[in-house]
Amino acid sequence: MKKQVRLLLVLALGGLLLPLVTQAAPQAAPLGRMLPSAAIQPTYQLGPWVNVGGTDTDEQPAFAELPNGHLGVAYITSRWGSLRQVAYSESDDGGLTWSAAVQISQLGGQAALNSSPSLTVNSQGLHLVWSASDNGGGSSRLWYTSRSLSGGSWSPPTYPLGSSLFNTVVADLHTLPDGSLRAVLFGDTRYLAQVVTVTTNGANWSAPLNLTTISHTGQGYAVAYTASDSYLAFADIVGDNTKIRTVGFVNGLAVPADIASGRLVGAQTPGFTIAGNRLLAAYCGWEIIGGSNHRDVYTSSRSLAAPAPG
Amino acid sequence: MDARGSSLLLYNIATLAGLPNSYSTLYLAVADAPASSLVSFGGQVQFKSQQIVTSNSGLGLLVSYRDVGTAPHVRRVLYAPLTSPGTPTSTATTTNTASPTETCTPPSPTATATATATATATATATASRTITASPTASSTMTLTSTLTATTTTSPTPTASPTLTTTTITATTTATTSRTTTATNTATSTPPATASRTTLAESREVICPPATATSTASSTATNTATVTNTPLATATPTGTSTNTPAPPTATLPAGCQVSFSDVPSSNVFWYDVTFLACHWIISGYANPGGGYRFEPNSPVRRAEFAKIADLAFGIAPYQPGQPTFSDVLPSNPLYLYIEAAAHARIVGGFPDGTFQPNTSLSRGQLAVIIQRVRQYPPATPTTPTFQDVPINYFAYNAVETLSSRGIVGGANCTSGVGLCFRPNEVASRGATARIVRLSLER
Repeated sequence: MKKQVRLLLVLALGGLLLPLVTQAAPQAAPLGRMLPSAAIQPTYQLGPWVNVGGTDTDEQPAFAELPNGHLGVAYITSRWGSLRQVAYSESDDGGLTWSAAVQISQLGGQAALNSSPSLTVNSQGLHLVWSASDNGGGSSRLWYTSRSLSGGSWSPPTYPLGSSLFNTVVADLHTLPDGSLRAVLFGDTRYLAQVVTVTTNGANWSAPLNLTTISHTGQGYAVAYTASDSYLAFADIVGDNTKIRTVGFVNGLAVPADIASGRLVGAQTPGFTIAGNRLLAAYCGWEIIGGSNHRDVYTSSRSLAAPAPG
Repeated sequence: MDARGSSLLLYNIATLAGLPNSYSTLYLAVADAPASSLVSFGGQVQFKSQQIVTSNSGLGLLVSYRDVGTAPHVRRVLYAPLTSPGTPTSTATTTNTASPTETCTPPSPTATATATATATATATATASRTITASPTASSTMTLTSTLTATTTTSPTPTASPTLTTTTITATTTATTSRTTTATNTATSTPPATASRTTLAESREVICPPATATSTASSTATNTATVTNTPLATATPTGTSTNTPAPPTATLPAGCQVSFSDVPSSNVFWYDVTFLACHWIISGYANPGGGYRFEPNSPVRRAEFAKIADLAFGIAPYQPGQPTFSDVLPSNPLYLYIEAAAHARIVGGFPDGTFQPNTSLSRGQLAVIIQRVRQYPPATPTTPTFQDVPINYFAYNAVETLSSRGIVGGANCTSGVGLCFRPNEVASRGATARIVRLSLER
């Protein structure tokens, strides 16, 4: 914990520790300037790379660990023809070897474009969502399938939210303490971020609840979550510049806030996580110094103990 | 956060050194230690996604990459364990010791290099574009960076017990298409697919070009210049039709632009692909990889200024002072908007603003197209469209474009006559159609 506290103190430049919800947007700390360049010491070793899919046609991996310690990866592959399909491989030895790919999606048609899988586990099974447009019109559906923890076949894919939700929709699926699932949707066309609760082992999907509107959806997004709350970070155009914004699904309500502000004139590609009781964000930001654009990796954080939304 | 309580930040820096040598490197920053260069596969690999995953087995890196040095491009999903020795050590593998002050710029080159690239782009009415470049050296040009930040955490006594890992999305950062085009051309003649794909990525305006942050020893300079020449010099023919004719121009050979939301069955596929192949439009990076165009989304004034500039050969223009109070030099599209305003194809509002994020209506779009193409106005005595009467501000423009088959209408909901829906927001797909046709006719 001491190291964590030290980190947060370092990140606290410019008042980062102030809750975002009620305070003025904080100044972000450029990571590059926090870290001295003189004493670079590698602290991690990377083991041998293993080709999860075993072919040269795979991309967009999503990860989950099963209760038995197996590692699961869902990904997009073109191994079964020109269409991009969803595949799944599993490792029972900590990632040293991986099973042969299992085809998950069975969607056909010239326009089938499967993408963006997200994988999570609860006590009842392994749950997978992904995006696919197979109706020829460019609209995207969120597809869902599940499998028991002991293995076996995956359920026939369904699109529980109906069709044409968005032109493109991506979802982060995660498990809540009560075993229900929550999907945070991020899509265009309607320019909405939405949240959906999934219960009864994937059988019941709530109507999407709007979290926030988005003026520009192409700048990256990330999701972090606690036992009860979910937080979405995304880059959006605010005024003239792209900023990092967040919206939390806290106590059942949307709590919006901005992260990147202050002297930054733009930011995108957010990363997001929760460490202890703090929400950490990292993103590419830039500012103009002496008429030139200076780019850096920035981090921001705030306490999760935000005031109740009102 | 690792077992020691340190937060980890994984990010990706891409360097454009001229295809096929574009590559990216993953860096792992440890919160209580300087950043370490972690992973590089060599000169022709582009990481598309990367994340730190946690399991009972420990930490691991799950990445996907594309090898642009192969044809077709190899795309792999790889996993590798990530081990911490517990205490910092200098014996761990590292491939680069780039200064962490360069976190959003490419790693320092190992040798000083000077590169001067000059590119000239011309285009003909048959929609082919010739690009030439004369680099004096192949060098790293600090043109674009790709950043992906992944932070991971392991449960701690105070952490949520359900929290295992957080995956961060990847987005490509970019510069303008013109500069990147020069870069692509400067050092190699890559396969068409590779060239086009990378360009599409680079055209996403996210991070502006780095100009002063890098502490690299490189003195490479990019003096690339591109001349925008209108793709078409159509001669008015007076042909009247409300049904757009099949395209007469062809896609450039080898152009394989693909947007995930514009399949070949999409009604605007040819228009979007045509313009993308000619560097006029670009899409948005999908969080999970690939690109999309959002054909049904409204086109914004700023976006259209850029499209119009690139389509009709209006060179970027930098005034002494910003013309509009809400379009400052920090805006990635500043020069495009200023150029369009300088060419008087777009204007501002009485309050001095440009309202760059405001959508364009179909009527406004017709007026701008007519203004820039300067077609002889068509003034039929009877309006073609029920909802575009003679006294409507866009009447002449809509009628003119309609007479040339550039725009069409649909049956009015009343069931009587044709309607143009001039007050509806112009979609990006429809805009692509209209711009393409206006280039041809």
